[in-house]
Amino acid sequence: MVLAPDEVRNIYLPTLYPIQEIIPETTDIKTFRLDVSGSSFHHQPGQFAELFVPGVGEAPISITSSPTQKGILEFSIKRVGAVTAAIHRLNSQDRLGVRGPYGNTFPLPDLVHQNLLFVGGGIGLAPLRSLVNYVLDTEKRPDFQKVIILYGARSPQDLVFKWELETWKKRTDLVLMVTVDRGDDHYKGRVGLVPNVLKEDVTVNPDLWKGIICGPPIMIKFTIKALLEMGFHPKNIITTLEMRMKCGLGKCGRCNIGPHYVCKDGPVFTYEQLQHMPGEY
Amino acid sequence: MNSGIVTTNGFISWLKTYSGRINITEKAEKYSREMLGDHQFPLIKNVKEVLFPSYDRVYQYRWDQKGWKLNDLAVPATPTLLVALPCEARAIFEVLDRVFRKEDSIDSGYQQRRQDLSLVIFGCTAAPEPTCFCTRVGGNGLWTHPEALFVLPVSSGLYIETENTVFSGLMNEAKPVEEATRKQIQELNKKAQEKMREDTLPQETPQALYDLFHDPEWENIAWKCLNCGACTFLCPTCYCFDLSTEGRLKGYQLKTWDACMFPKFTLHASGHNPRPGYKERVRQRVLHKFAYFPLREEGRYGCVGCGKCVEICPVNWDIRDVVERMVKKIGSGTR
Ligand SMILES: Cc1cc2nc3c(=O)[nH]c(=O)nc-3n(C[C@H](O)[C@H](O)[C@H](O)COP(=O)(O)OP(=O)(O)OC[C@H]3O[C@@H](n4cnc5c(N)ncnc54)[C@H](O)[C@@H]3O)c2cc1C
Ligand code: SF4
Ligand code: SF4
Ligand code: FES
Repeated sequence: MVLAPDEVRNIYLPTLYPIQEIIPETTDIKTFRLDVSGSSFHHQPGQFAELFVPGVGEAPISITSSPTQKGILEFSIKRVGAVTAAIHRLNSQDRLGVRGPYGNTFPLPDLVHQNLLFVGGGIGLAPLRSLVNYVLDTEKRPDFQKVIILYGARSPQDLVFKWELETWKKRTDLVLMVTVDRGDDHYKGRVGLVPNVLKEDVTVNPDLWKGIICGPPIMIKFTIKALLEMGFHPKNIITTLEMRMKCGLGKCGRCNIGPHYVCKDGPVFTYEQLQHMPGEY
Repeated sequence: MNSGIVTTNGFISWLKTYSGRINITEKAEKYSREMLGDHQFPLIKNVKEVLFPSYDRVYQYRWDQKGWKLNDLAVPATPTLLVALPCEARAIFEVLDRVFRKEDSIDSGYQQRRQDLSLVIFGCTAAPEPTCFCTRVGGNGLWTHPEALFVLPVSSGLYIETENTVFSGLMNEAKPVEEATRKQIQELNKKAQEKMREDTLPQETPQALYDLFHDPEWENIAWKCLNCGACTFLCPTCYCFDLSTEGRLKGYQLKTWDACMFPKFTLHASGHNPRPGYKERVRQRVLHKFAYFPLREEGRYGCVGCGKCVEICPVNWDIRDVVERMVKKIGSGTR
């Protein structure tokens, strides 16, 4: 335990990485691809990082790229307040501070050799995407069984990762279903709320599938309900939570649900775990 | 442990030779006449001030033509001798160290200050304040740690005890402890241990209190509290903090005290707040100390029973009463 202070790196100090590319997704969401080649940054699907804009502050953001995509990190960010707006003002080649990775990961050992049903809502697809692309990686794909992705947003304009949905749609080793709450004149796809589409259009043997969900709180709530109705066991429903976070290290004291720190023991929990927690989130 | 007997004058002269900052806590000072006579040292309210300052710059950022630069700010070595009571010392060893020296994420600033710290513990043979309750949370008036210098007035002078070579200057001057004094110390220790064993909350208390999460009593408990946060800032174990920036193009990332008593502490970006009201926030403060922390940290309570929060509270909200009220309800509810 006795380490000389100079052997201890500053856990609050971010590293600055250049932005390689900025992909506009919707009116208020952009995806930022950072060049981290040559760094020792290594994450697992489901983890997040604290992003830092000097003079403004930090925000916890899910790492949406898969660790199988070497040399880069991607973050999809919705503009809601001071830090996210400042990130949106950055240009390609600007540098962004990154601390992490933090939190647990999707439970990969429980997911291998399983059928995976991903259900995402809005920007909630971002954390799921790290696992989707991990599973779809040529080397990893044989480790997993069937894959279904159900993705929904409020309107066609609110769908994120449209560029990647195209790639996923072309693949024969997965089923992609996209839905919107309200369509428009140009939209030809499915219309309907995610939980309803799930119940009506997805027929799977609940004992042989894992449901992995992320989205706005209300969508998560009704999607869990739908999965339970479909016969899913709570331990086979996996979700990720959001809390106000500062340190990401289980120290600053604000993100706990009972004795569990969402930044450290989470953000990924099974519904079975959540059932044993007090619901203060 | 090495032990010996020194005189009050010998102890004070040794303190004066200490090359560094000397601080004494308000709580220890009230109780220190026998150890320090009329001698005075700068007072601090709370041990955490030394290790976890209320306002701390953790790194610097700067904009120049080439872009942003981030500079680590190493905490300069500042040898500090801190005089505190056993409860306050336990706040360091049993709580703060377990947060900021956690092996997988050591806080380098804390680590530097911690390594610069020489701790002197004044033993209490009687609870110095009516608000003291250290024995209820696993402590006692003679609690010490081999790393600290333990000091206790006995008939032949001041009994000292340590394993830390930082104190060898003083230890070298000490006379051996006579048999009678040794017996006296043993006797006092036995009594203190017995009292602790009798008083300490049963081992299953943390889980049992957690099971009362949804108990309606929390509403009543929270009723009087103003959510002013005074208790949290005075508390030696309250360690919650905020990270924020100071300055636009040149400035510092700050680590500052924060508290669970304030709604902004947990406010989501969406406007949703998982602890929206007084009940949720007061419950968090009590359960963090009496359930969550011990459940994570091998049974250690996140409260050392120093009673400072009881003394400071403008509306006389008393954590001892609250804990006893909830302990009485154990077994009556489910989470
Ligand atoms: C694990 C995790 C993963 C996440 N992943 C993502 C992700 O992938 N993508 C993403 O977009 N988001 C993600 N989030 C959410 C994201 O962290 C927040 O949206 C972000 O922190 C908001 O920061 P901000 O500084 O932009 O907003 P802030 O400026 O902090 O504002 C937050 C909210 O508070 C309000 N506010 C600000 N100041 C005040 C004030 N003085 N008084 C009253 N109200 C005020 C603002 O209006 C805003 O609505 C994630 C969160 C967590 C915990
Ligand atoms: S909660 Fe009160 S009694 Fe307990 S350590 Fe903090 S200030 Fe002392
Ligand atoms: S318990 Fe007392 S001191 Fe603490 S926040 Fe409530 S009113 Fe303030
Ligand atoms: S974000 Fe600080 S404890 Fe979780």
